[in-house]
Amino acid sequence: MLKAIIIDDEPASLRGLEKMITTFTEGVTVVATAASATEGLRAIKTNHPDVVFLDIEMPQKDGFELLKSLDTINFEVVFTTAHDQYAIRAFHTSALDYLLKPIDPEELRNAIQKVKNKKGHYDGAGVKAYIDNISGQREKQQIGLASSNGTSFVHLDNIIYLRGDGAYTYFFLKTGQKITVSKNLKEYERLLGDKGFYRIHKSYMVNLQEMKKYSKGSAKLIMSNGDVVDVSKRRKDGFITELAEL
Amino acid sequence: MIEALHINNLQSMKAFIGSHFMFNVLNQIQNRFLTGQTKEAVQVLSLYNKMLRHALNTSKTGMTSGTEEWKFLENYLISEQMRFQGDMQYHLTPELIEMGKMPAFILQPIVEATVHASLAIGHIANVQITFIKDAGGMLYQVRGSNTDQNIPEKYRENITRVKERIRIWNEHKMAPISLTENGDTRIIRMTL
Repeated sequence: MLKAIIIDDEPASLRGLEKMITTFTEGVTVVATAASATEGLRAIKTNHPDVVFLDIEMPQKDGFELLKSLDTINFEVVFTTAHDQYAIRAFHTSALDYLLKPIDPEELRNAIQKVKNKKGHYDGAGVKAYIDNISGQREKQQIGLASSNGTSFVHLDNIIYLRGDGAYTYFFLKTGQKITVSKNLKEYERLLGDKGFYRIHKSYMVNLQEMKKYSKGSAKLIMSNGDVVDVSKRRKDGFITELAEL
Repeated sequence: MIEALHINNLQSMKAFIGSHFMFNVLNQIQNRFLTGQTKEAVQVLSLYNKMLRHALNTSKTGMTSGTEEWKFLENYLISEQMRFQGDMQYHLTPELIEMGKMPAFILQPIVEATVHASLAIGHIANVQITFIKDAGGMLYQVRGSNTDQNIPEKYRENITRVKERIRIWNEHKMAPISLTENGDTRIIRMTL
C-alpha cells in the first residue's frame, strides 16, 4: 500500500483530492494532509511517504521552498497546480509529474501507477534539478532530458548548442555526447531563452558562453567544440545586439 | 470603437476568462461535488456563470454600468471567500452603487491582486473596497490588509494590465481615469 501526503492551502482541495484518491485509485492510503508548507514538512518527516501531492502556490512558503528545505527527497513528488503556464512548461520539459486542477481521475491514476512502478526506488534527482533550475543559480542549473533510454540530467554549462529537426532536438554536450529528445526546439527556446542561450537559426540555439568565433561575412558561428553553425538572416541583427551585451 | 481599445478589451477579457482564477473555480466546484457539498458546488457554479456572462457582455464595448460592475465584484469576492473560507474577509461599501457607465476590467483585477497580496502574508486577509462620489467624479479605494506593503511581484501583472488599459483609455481623450498606489491601497479616480 502506497503512503500519500497531500499538501494544499485550500481546505476544499485537500478534502477533494483525498476523496478522489479513495474513489478513483487503489492501493493508496492518505496518511496525512497539510494546509501549509510548514505543516507539510512536519508530515513528511513523521510519515515517510511514498508520494507527496504538492500544491505549488501557497502563501508564505510555496511548494518549491518546501522541497528546497529538504536535504534529500526520498519520495515521489506530484505537483498540483491550477494554471501556471511557466511552471507547466518547465515540468513538461523536465519530465516531472504534475496534475492540473481540476484533476482528471485518469491522470491521477496514471501518476499513481508511475509511483507504483518505481517499487520503492524513489530518486529525487529530477525534482532537485528542477528546484535548482528555478533557484536562479546558473552553476547549479540542470535540465532533464527525457529520451528512449531514460532521463539524463545535464548541467546547462555542459551544453554547447542545440539543433532542432522537426519534432526532435539534439543536445551537443562538452563531453562529446549527443542526446536526442523528442521535443521541438521551440520548447527549449522558451525554457532556456533567458538562461544564456540564444536562438540563432530556426534549427540552432547556442550557449552564448560556448562560442569561439563569429564570422560576420559568412554569418557562421564556430562553437567551442569546433562545430560550425549558421546564423540566419532574420536573426542576425538580434544576435549581434546580444553579442554587444556580453 | 478605437482599435487599440478594442484589442485591450479582448485582452482584458481573455486575462479574466483564462486566468488562474477560472481554473481554481472549476477545481473548487469539483472538490465540493466530491466531498458531498452539492449546495456549495452549485452556488460557486452559479457565481461563476454570472461573472462569465458579465465578462462576455462587456467584451464588445468594454463598458459596463457601475451597478453591474459592483455586482460582478461582489460575486468574485464571495467566490474567493468560499475558496479561502475563514482566511478572507471583505467589505464592499456601499453595498450597491447606482451610477452611469464605466470601463470594465479595471476594478476586479486590482481587487484580485489585493486579495492575493493580503493572503500571501499568512494571516486573515481583510480587503476593503469603498466607492465615493464627489464633485470631481468617482473614486474607488481598494485596500488590503498587508499594511505598508506593496503587492508582491507575482500579483503585479494585474496592476500592469490595468495601467495599460487606463493609458489607452486616456490617450483617446475619454473622460480621464487615474490609478494611484500607496502601500497597500490603490485608488482609481474617474472624472466622468
